[in-house]
Amino acid sequence: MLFSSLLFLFAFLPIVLLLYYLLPARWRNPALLVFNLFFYGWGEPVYVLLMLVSILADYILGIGIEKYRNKKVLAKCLVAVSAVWNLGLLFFFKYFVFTAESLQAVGLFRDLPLLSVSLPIGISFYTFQKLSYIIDVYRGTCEGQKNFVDFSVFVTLFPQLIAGPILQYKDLAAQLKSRIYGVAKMREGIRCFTVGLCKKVLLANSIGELWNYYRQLETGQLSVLGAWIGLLAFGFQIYFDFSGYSDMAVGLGKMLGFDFKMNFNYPYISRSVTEFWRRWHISLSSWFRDYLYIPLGGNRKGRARWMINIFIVWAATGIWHGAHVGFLLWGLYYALLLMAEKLWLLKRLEKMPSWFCHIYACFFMIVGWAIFALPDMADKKGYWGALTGLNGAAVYEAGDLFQLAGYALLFVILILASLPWGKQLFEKFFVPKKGRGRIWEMVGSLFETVCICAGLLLATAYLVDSTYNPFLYFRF
Amino acid sequence: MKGRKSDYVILGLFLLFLYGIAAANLFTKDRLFSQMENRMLAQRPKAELKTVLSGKFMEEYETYMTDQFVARDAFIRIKSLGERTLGKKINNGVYYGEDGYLAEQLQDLDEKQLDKNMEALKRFLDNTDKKVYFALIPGSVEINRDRFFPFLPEPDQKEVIRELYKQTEETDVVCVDMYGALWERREEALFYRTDHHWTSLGAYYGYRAFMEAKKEAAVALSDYTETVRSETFYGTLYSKTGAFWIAPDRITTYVEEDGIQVERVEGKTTADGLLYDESRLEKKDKYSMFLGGNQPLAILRTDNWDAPKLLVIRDSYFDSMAPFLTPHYSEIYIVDFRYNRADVSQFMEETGIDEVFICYSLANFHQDANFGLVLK
Repeated sequence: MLFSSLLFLFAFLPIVLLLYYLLPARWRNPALLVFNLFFYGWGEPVYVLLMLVSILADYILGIGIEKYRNKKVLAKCLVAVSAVWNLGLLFFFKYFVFTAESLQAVGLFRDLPLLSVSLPIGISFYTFQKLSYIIDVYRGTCEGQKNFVDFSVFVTLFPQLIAGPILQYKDLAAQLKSRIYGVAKMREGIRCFTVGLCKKVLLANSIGELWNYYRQLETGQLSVLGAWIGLLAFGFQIYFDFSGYSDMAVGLGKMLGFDFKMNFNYPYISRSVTEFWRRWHISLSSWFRDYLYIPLGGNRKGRARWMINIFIVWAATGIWHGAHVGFLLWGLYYALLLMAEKLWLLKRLEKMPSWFCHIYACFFMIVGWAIFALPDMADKKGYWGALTGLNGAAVYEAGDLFQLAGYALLFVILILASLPWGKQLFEKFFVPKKGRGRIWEMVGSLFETVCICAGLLLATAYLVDSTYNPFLYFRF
Repeated sequence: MKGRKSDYVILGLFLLFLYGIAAANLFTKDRLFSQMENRMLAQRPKAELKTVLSGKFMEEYETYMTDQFVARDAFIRIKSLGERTLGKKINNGVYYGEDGYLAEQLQDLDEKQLDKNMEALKRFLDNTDKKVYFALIPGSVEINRDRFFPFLPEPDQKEVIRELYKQTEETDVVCVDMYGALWERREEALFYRTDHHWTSLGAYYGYRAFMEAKKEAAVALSDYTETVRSETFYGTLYSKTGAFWIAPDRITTYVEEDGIQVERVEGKTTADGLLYDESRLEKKDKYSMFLGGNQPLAILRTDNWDAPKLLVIRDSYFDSMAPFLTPHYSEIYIVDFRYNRADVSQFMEETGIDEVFICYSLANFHQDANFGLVLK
């Protein structure tokens, strides 16, 4: 089930909220677990069992590690079992076919069967969540969870189950036991959720149509301008899609009394690639930082090891996004940029005017999206040719002007929505603070109310329209 | 945590929205058919172990919920208005123009089908000794181009039609310059704003072009009086875009029905038909008023018993042009080969056809897979 579906909005969510708040606090976690499983089972009716089994395994392992924490060797073994188990499952479902195909392509293991397994939704997310728990218990940063229901709730929490953010157990342990509820938090949740819903349904889906248009153009029809417009559209689509989903998760969490960390922090205002990765998909980069980069030694083991560590972490980040050489290349592309920045570029960028840094960062982000969006470089030769102008594509086509005119206003909205200006303005004038008249607060609240209502209404309309499919049998 | 008043207002409105719509969905009866979309809506699927495990049930349920959503048509209009406000120039393959004009996108010509159809046409021309006229009608997006955004990613229909006509140079076929006739009059309302067809006025100029090709005199427009048949015609383009702010079209006719008998033939049964079937005006597809819509075979008989007999191989554009041809023929056979796979040459012999008119809109001709089958 997606948050951006009518079923979720007008059936699942109302029922969940109603039951959740009718129940006494101690019954809320068991109820939540049932909701989570239903939510997951709706999209993955079979793999829900796989998830449960894998939760049970880590639940037992976690308790074991806690118990034998002092016996280093045994504890380590248990961590290794969990890592092999979790990463093994992830590997089997996500990377097995890819690996087998790659091996066979170079002539190895020719009789390896190419099993056609479908990827269980959210496995990349919940695998990482469970690993963070196991490692934290081993490190002693948190206690093992004795309550199976609470542990399962942590892994399966429906707001973040299928698209993140990746929660770390240590951030959530206290909230699993008791949460703070309140109408102010509800309001924050509603705002966050509505913003996310609008980002996904109104912005990401709309600009996604433009990307789709360009993506499927045949080589001869795609101009240089068109290829870049298409890529820009993709950059906006993926940001608003993903961050919208994260915002909805944060909002839903708040409605249920949880506090999750924000997953995106205006990545497109970055002035360097380093900054971009501090602002983009924060929960994933922090996971890799805490559980891979720092254990590898981070930047404390000399320059060569530092570079190797960056290389390893970003190769992993790339491949986490999908089993494809293209994603690996995408990760390595960022590894190279980050190395260059860390070694000498950042210092020089600091001396440059900020507009230059923005252009620099934007350029490399967009090129990054080209690698990400068109991982099949051999298949997409035409697109790459048009991007670089090497295949003799026209500078522009009539269709580009038409698309630009049709999407101009949306682009303006997308740019504004990528900037923190709106939020800053609102906070400057309307958020209540000492010495400010009540009238401003009221105007602010009124504005917020109107925006939330309009946003919900519009998003609903766009969702209803998704099956609008007039049948014109009299078409002949 | 104590809340402010405004917190309660926002929470209240949110819950009202959620539960209000959820309740409304629960209590509104499911519809079978959508008038607006002209299609059957999805119905509540039954849960079976197999469909649940495969996830098919869930997919169907979500489609069902979306199709049966309360006030669906109103929500679709809200979206349509939103797109319009954003300045979108195209929706569902239909361009928005000035003065409430909509036009269908032609965009990519199906070159393969086009080649096949031209081959079929040439073969047919080689095998017949009758006089054949061939007409391709350009679309609104071309003729009304001044009413649309200047840089549409559209092929040059004038050039396309010229090229296709050129391919027939070796044969005796007479090509009708529909493009020139319409282009000359492009200021007038030659196409419906909300439908892909041409208006009766457009069809009249098409008729004049045909008569010019035949080198015969056409009846002057001033000899006819215009009769309004409907003021509330919302055509296919309107349905596709849901552009509810656009005013409806008007359907008019010029030629009087007196003295023209229409026969509808379906298999072995023959029924009386109408030149203008006004019962169709009650329905969504009001354009089907002309000859009562698609049918295997319609025969128009006139009092001009000594005039020639015409066979028309056509698409629905021809239906509104047909009345204008009645003064010049004794019998007009209008065949729809999607429903009627008769052998053309045999049919022509049996009915004693004198002339053949192949009349298509370019938009249909380039993708009509039946054309080649007909003229085999």
